[in-house]
Amino acid sequence: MRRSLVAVVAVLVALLAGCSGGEQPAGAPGAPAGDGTFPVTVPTAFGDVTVPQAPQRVVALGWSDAETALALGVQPVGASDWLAVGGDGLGPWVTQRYTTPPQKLGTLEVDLEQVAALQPDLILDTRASGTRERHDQLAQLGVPVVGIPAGGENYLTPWRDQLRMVGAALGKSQEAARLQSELENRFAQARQQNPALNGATVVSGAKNTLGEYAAYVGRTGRVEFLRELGLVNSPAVEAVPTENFSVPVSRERMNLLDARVTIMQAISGNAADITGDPLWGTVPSVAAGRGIVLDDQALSNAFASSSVPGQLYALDRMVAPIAAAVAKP
Amino acid sequence: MTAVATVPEPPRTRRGAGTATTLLTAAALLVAVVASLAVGPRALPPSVVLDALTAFDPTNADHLVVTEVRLPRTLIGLLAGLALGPAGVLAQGLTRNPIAEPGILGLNTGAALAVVLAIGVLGIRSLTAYVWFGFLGAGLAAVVVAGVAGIGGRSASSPATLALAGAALTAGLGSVTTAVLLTDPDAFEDYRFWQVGSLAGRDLGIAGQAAPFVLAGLALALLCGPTLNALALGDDVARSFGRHVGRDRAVCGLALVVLAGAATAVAGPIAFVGLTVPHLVRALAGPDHRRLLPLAALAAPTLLLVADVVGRVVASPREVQVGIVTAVIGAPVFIWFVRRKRFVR
Repeated sequence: MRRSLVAVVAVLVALLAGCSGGEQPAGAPGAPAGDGTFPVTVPTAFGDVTVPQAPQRVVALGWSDAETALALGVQPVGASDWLAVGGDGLGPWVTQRYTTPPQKLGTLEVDLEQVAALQPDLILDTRASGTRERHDQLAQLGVPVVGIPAGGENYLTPWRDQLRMVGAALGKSQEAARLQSELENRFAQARQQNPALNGATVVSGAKNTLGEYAAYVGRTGRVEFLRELGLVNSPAVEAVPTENFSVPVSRERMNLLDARVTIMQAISGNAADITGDPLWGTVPSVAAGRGIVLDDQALSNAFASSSVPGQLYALDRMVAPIAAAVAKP
Repeated sequence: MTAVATVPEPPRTRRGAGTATTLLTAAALLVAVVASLAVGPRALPPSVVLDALTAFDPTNADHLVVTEVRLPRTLIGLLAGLALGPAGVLAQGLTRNPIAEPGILGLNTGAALAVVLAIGVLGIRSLTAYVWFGFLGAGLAAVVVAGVAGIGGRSASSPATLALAGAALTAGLGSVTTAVLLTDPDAFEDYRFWQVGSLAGRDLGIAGQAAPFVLAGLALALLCGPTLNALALGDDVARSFGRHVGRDRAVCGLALVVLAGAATAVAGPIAFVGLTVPHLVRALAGPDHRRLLPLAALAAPTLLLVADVVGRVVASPREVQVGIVTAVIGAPVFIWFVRRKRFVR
């Protein structure tokens, strides 16, 4: 009953906004507008980008750019669905909803014509491969492109950078700062309640449909989340030289996955592919009951999103099992 | 040798030399199998490998590496090679075209398109399912090519129309595959691994799925020796010896489709093996297809397994997919044959 009332109000608000000419982007009701002064300049790996006025038509291409914009009260007109959530691209961890679902766009490859047809006035691509080629293609459209920050190549943009850049480009820096401190407080609280996590080693890995394992490097969003809890990435994984976001782990050398806690996700597969693999059981941490397989796809995706809403969702559901694993002998 | 109503046999190498060649090829295959079981990123002493096979202990991580990683890989390589070698001989013999291979008849592209559609349209993300789609695609492509080339009819089919129909279908289906991949980039990642050809990550279930097809196709192929020898003389001569050219070609074509489909489904389209192995064994054993078919069945898995072992160690700790290694090994071998001018006989 309450939900339908909210829906009716939301529709009315949307209609009124439409009638009044829609000068302002449809914001979340009650959200503070932030500082909202334009033009703003956002430093990126490809130079400073100036956004001349409050963007009305935002295209969000980077990993979790769409839900970050949404969390700041701006609904993108086009969005990439990196985690293949389906539908409007919003997983259950995102509390906001679109009034008008965005046009779904490609991820690794973006159709420029499709983007141009949306007539964007801002393109967000803050967490992506970060190649010069991708940036230059998008820049051809003559619209401000907020690309990766310096050092954010290969999807390594930290959540704070993403939040700050998207917030600045949308004129919502204050709101971004508020979200940041909200998440930081939650991390601090979790650390306080679980001091045993401090300094414990962790491996965060994934298995793809071809049965290949990989372990994420310390600068990825997943490991950053775990580091915020006080855990440290496995030194053995960190010792493997790579410029990528993960290092491959041969099924013949599963010991590389050993740590105080080993967390594994199935990429576009199901968790049974991991739990049913006899070699997974040979990892010492797993044999000791300190392996965690994220068999809930929503949780697995939220953890992978490395967005503020995704991490809030993952905090509620992952801290307890991690603490339980660390406590085991 | 009586000549009445019998196809004249091609000149044979001396019997002793022939046996020696077969034994050597079989020995090489054995060595390749042993190497495939013994070599990998994890250093395992031969005694452990032997124990894993004879006295398997499911709690022993070393044993599990052998049974879960190396054994399936070796079996997949064996199966794919068993299929690809004779398939190459069949393709070249049926089309009387020295550069024919299963791919030239559109079988690989047919299989690839079916897999891409399975990923992109049906959202299937499982290698076990790809096997069936690979089969389906190869089979459909074969039916289309055979239909266009008029196989089975009394007259119209010729090796040239067969190769042309295959080439046309390859081009057509290939562009559809590209179009699907461009519109659905997410499907691309999964397809990329399947497409490049690899023996890794395929489990025993896939080997079990494909094995009956490989064995049936192989049995049928080994019966095709006399047929191919007859066809090598040209359709008219073959017919004058009382052979049903259309029927013969359809039977051996069926063997080719089953073998090429099984190999592609099991390991992805692996370049060059089907092309180079027939030339390699022809250089060893002469033009008699009755000898070429079994020799190719021994030589192709040898090449595949050796290439796979090389791929495991050459870029350690990473692995290079066998499809890439065979292309790197296969290309120079093929060029070498071309340079020797022996290869068109």
